[in-house]
Amino acid sequence: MALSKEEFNNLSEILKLSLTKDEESRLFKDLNLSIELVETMNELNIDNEDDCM
Amino acid sequence: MREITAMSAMTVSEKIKKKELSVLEVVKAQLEAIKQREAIYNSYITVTEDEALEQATSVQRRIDNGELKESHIAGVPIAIKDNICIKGIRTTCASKILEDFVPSYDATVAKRLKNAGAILIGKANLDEFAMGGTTKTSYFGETKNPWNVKHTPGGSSGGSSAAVAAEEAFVSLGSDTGGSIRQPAAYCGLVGFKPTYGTVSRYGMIPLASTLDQIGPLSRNITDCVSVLEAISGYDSKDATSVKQKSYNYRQALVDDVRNMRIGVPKIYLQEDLNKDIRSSFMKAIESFEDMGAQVELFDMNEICYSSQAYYVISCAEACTNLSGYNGVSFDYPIEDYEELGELYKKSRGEGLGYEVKRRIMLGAYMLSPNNYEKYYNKARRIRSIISRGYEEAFAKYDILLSPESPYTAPLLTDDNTLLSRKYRSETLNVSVNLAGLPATSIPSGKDRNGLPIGLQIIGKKFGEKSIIQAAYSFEQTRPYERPNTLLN
Repeated sequence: MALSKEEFNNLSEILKLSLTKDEESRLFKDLNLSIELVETMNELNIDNEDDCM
Repeated sequence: MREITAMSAMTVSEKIKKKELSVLEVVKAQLEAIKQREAIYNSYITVTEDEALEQATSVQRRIDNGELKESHIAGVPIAIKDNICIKGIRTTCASKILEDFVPSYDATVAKRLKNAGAILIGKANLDEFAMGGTTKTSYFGETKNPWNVKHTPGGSSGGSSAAVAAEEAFVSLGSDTGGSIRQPAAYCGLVGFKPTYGTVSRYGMIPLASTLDQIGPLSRNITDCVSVLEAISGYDSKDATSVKQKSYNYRQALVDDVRNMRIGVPKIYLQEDLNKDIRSSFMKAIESFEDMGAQVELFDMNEICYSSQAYYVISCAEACTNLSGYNGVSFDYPIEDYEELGELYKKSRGEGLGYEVKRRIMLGAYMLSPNNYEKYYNKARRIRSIISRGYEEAFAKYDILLSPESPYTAPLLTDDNTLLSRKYRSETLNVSVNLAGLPATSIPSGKDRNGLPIGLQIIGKKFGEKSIIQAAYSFEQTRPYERPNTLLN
């Protein structure tokens, strides 16, 4: 998992997002899935690209 | 009542000018339709009946005094997405945290519409803070699709699309961060137009992702769409991203002629996992353009294949920043039981924000954190540059690009739209346009086997609105507007 439970708890604390138990378990799973999907862009080797918008 | 509300905005405006209809008659017919249908569709969060009736009287006076001769929307009722501020009217963004927020000023687009004599009839439903594609994340309940109430009208501008399709407004305003005007327009059989970034001021619009958001119209035909677009476009010093242009006369592009127009179709759009009926409708649309004398060519544009990922990183990062101010202090969310400020923040954000908003805020914060910034955020920005250059190269060869608007028609409201992989898939066709800041429209191109509308997307180069309008107008002549057959009389 990209995001550990500890990082997750830290993030929700920093962002001042109080979560219900249900939200917490669902969000933890969803966030890891979101990160996994987003990470597919790292297949693209463009690290030498210096032009950032 | 139906006789009036089923008319196009252009027809109503002309009839008002010719004194065949009064503004009050039109507004009363519109309010009557809303009262009759709102229980079914839930297009609105707030209907501004009293204000609309007052406006009707003052607009009629202006018309009688010889003002508003140049306006094509004088006296025309219009729905405004509820993330756009209207002075004195609550603006909720479909969120509990803004349930009682009443802005003290007009968004520039609202002011421009009032100046043009349009009647602002109500605030349309949306996904909470425009985060979603179904209206299911709205605190005020989901909106139903007038073509089939078991289906979503799309989103996030789903209230804006349902209101126009259900004849609860003649036209509407939506906002588009990653397809939020075009997708609901496609799902409801309407025209939806996302202008070039910088064409329409966002001053007074509650932002989702500031480098992607644009305001634009939804309507039953391209002519009505252009009338609204002309009224709301123009430089505004209050929006730092506003761009001054030489001409905003989009009506002159309402020409039925695409002869020799160069049209490109990125092959990658056809490789998408398209619904069979959508693929067939899209191929027929290509044939129509060829029959009308355009030159259509398939070409490679693989730069856009990572657009969904880049979009998610950038939009969530910006949303995280934009939503940091909703903490129970700035917008006075009613929490009484707290001992220190941190507790107020936590309670108000915990109670006031919905699940999808929390998900995106957390994802954005994760992407922006020092350990991940380079890996995700900067990478997404590089992909964005590559996408923009890909489009620039394409528009060196073509006047417009075509694609299906969505890989499928309006899903059932009971579908699990929270499936993230599905979200990514549905947004692929839209989000690259926002990343590159381009103009694009969705226009009706047919129906699927279940009778649900299909949309065709036309993409133009930066500030190339006129080419899109000309192509859309020509295409519309082959496929006139169809009223939802389930609509009450």
